[in-house]
Amino acid sequence: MSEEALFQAMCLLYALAALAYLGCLVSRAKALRPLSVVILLAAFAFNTAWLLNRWRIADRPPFKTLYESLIFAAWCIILVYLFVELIYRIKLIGFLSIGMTLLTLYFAHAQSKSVAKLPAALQSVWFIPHVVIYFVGYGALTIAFITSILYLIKLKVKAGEGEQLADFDDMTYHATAFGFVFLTFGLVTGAVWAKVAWSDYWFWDPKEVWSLITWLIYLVYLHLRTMRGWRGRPAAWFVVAGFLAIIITYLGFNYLPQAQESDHAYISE
Amino acid sequence: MPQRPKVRPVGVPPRKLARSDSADAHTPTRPHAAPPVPPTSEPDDDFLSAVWKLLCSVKLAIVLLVFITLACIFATTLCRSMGAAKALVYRTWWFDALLALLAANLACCTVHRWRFRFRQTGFLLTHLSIIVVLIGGLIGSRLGERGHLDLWEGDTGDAFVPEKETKRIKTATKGHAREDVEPGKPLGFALRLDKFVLEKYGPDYSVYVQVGGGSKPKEFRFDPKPGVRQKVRRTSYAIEVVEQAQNAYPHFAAVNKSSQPHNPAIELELRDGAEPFGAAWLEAKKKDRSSFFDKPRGLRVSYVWCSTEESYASQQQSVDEPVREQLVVTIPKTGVQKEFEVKVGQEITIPEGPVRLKILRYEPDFVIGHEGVTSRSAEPNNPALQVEALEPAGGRPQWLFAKMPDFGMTHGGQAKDVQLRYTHPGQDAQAKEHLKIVHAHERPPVLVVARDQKLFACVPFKVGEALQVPGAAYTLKVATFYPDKGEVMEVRTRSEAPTSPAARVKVFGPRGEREFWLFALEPFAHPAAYDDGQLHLVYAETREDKDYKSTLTVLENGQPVLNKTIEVNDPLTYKGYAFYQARYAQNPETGKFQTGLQVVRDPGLPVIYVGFTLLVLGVVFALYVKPFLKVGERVSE
Repeated sequence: MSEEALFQAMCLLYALAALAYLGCLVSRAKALRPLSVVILLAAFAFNTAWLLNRWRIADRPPFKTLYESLIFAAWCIILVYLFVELIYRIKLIGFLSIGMTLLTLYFAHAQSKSVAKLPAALQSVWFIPHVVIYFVGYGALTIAFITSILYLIKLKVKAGEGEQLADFDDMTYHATAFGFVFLTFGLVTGAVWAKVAWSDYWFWDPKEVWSLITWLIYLVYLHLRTMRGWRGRPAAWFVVAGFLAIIITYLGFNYLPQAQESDHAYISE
Repeated sequence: MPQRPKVRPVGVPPRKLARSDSADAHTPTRPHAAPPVPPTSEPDDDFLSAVWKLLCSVKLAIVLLVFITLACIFATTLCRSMGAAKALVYRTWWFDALLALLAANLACCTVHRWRFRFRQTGFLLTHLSIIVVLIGGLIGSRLGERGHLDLWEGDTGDAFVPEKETKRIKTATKGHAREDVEPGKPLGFALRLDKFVLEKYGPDYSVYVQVGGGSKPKEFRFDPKPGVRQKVRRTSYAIEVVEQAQNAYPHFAAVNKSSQPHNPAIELELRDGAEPFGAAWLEAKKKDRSSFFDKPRGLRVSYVWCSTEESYASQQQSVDEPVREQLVVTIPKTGVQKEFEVKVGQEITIPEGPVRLKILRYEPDFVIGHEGVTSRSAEPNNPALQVEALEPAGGRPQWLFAKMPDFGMTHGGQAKDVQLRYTHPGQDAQAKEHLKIVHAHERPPVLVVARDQKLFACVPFKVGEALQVPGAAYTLKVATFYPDKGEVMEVRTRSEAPTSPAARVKVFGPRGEREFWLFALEPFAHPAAYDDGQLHLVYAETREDKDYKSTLTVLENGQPVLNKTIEVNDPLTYKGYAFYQARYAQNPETGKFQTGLQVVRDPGLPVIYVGFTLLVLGVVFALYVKPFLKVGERVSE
C-alpha cells in the first residue's frame, strides 16, 4: 500500500471511529461499544503502519518533518487514550480525543510530504527517546486538556455503568501528573542532548524557552492543586493554558520572531 | 460535576487556615507558629517571622513561577532576536533576582516542610534538584569558559578565541569558520587536526519548480513520486513525475525543415578501409559546428557554404590561413586595433586608449564545475582567457572564449570603450591535413585537399557516394545533405556507466497538460518551461551533508597523548575542556578543510547532571510512586 493510501485509510477509519463513539453517546445499542473500540484499534493499526512505512522509506525515525511528526502526534493521542479507555470507559473523552486526532491529521494533510534527510545534529541516540517521550507527554496533556474543559463547563456524565458521576477534575489531575513526568524527562533529555551536540545544555533558544514555559505552567497547576481555594476551577485553567503553550511550542513556534535563529525549526518545504 | 466542597477542617481557626497552604495533606507544625502575640512584642521578631513565612509559602513560589513564565513569554514574543531577549530579560539583574528568590523560596520551603518520611522523598528530591540545577548554572556562568578554535588540516593550536557571553554561535551548522588574529586564551596543551572528513548523503534527485518571474520567483522542491500528481502550492499548477530513468540521454535527431539553404548541413562519414573513424554533422553557418577534427590522423574536415558563384570558385582554389593564438584589442572610438601574444600574467598597454589590461588565466577546455572554473581536459577544446582591465578601471575580470568571439563584447564590463577578441587555433594547430568541403546552392560539393598548408587536390563528388580521398588511405562520404537542418530531441537510454539520471515530468497548467524530459547531468542545458513562461522545471541532484568528522590529537609538550575522531554528537574531552564539532570550511583552491571547534569548559556541569538526576527521580517518585503509597498507608492505618 502506498503512503498516500495508508494515510487515507487511516483518516477514514478515525472518522468512522469518531462516528461510532458519537453513536455510543446517543444510542443505547450494546453492540456499538465494542465495535467502536475495534474501529479505533484498526485506525490505530493503520496509523502505526503509516509510521513504520515512512521509517522504511526515509531510513530514519519518522520524526523529522512537520508532516511526519503530526501523524506521530495523532498516534500518541490515541495511544494514551486507549489506556484512558481501559481505566474510565467514558466514550465522550474518546470521541473528543479522536476529534483532536482528526484535527491533527487535517493539519498534517496541508504540510509538505517530502522526505527529508537527517542532519548531523539529529543523528544521536537521544533522537528517538527525546521525541517519543515528549510526544507521549503531549498525548497525555491533550487528554488532560479535554477533561479540564469538560470540568470547566460543568458537564455531568455518568462514569461507567453505575450512577456515579465522572470526576473530570480528578481525571485532569491524573492525566496532567502522568504527562508532566514525561515533560520533565523530555526537558532533561533535551538538555543533555544539546550539551553533547551543541556544546551547551541551555541556549535560551526560543523552542527551549517555550518548552520551559509549558513545563512551568503545569508546575504551577500541580502546586495550585495543593492550595485550598485554588485547587478546583482556577487550577484547571492552567491546564488549558498549558495546552496552548504546547501548541505554541510545537506549531506556533515558526511564527515567533526568533524562530529563524533557532536550530529547532521543522523542515516544511 | 459539582465542585469540591470548600470544607474547613474542624477545630482549625479561620486565620490559620488562610495561611496553611500546605504542600502535603498533613500540615507540619512550624517553628514560628506561636499563639497570637500581644502587641507589645518586639516588631523585629514579627517582621522576621513574616519574612520567613513568606519565603516558606507556596504562594510566593507560584507568584515567582508566574513571573518567570511571563518574562519568558515576553522575551520570546516581543524581542526580535535572541541577543535582544538576553539583553532585556535573561541576563538582567531582575531575572537573576527572580531566580535567586525562587532558590531561596525553595530552600526555605524544603527546610520548613520536610519531615524524614519515605513518602516525602519526591518532595525533597524535586525541590532540592531545582536548587542544585540553579547552583550548577551559576558555577558555569561564573567559572566556565567558552570559545572557538579553528584549525586547518595538519595545523596545531594551543589557544582558543574566547566568546562574548551575549553572542550565540550557531553551532552544528555549516558555515565559514572565521579567521582570527587574536592570540586567544591558552589551553595548557595543544590540539592537532590530523584529518577532516565530510560525508554527504545521496545523491538524491528532485524536481525543482520555479513559478513566476521578476525579483521574487517562488521555488518548490518535489521528491519524485512516479504517477502521483503533486500540486504546486499556492499556484494553479500541478506536476507529475511520469517516469525516472537512471541512464537517459537527450539525442538530437536531424530533420530538414525546408528546401531553402537557411542552415546547410552535411552528415559526414569517414572510413579507414572498412573501419569507420569519424561521423558528424557539420553545419556551415555555425562556427562551432562547422568542422571536425580527428586527432590520430591530424585530420581536419570543414564544411563551407558559398552564397555566390565567385566565392564557390575561389574557395576551391584557396587554403585557409592558420589561426594564431592572440588577443585582439579594438578601441572603437579611435579605430585603433592591435594584436598581442598571449602570456598569462602579462600586462598589455595601449597608450592611445589609454588601455591597460592584465591576462590573468588560461584554460584550454573551459568548464564551470562545482568548485568554479576549471578545465575538462588539457586539449584545447574550449580555449578561454581571463582578462582584467586595469585601465579604464572598474570592470570585473572577464572570460573570453575563442569559440564564441562575440561573448566578450556583449558580456564584458568595458564593452563600450574597449573590445576584446581572443583567437586560438584550437586543435587546428595540430592539423597536418585539411579537407574542405565547398558547397553552394544547386551545385555539387567539392572536396579541397590541403596538406601542410598547400593545395593538393580538388574533386567534385556526389552526396551519398563514398569518395577515396586523393593521396590518402581513407574514404569520405557525405551521407545526407539538408539545406535547412533542424533538430528534434529524442531520449535514448543506455545501460553502461556513467549514469545520466533523468525524469519525464508532466505539467498541468492553465494551458493544459505538457510533458518535459529533464536531465540531471546538465540541468540548465535543456531548460523546460511551461507555455506561459511562468513555470520552469529543473531536475537536479541534492547532496546534503550527512556528517563531518575531525580526527584530533592532543599534544602535551609536543608528545601525542590522546587521539580521537570527533563528530557532531560526539565531542572530545580533555582536562576539563570539551571540543565540539561545530563548523567547517573548505579552501576552494586546494580542497583543504578547516574544522571549526566549539571549546567549552564548564565546572558546573557535574552539579547540573546531579540536579537533573535528582529531578527525574523526584518527579517519578512524587507523581508515580507516591499515589500508590498513599493507598497502602491508608489501608495500614
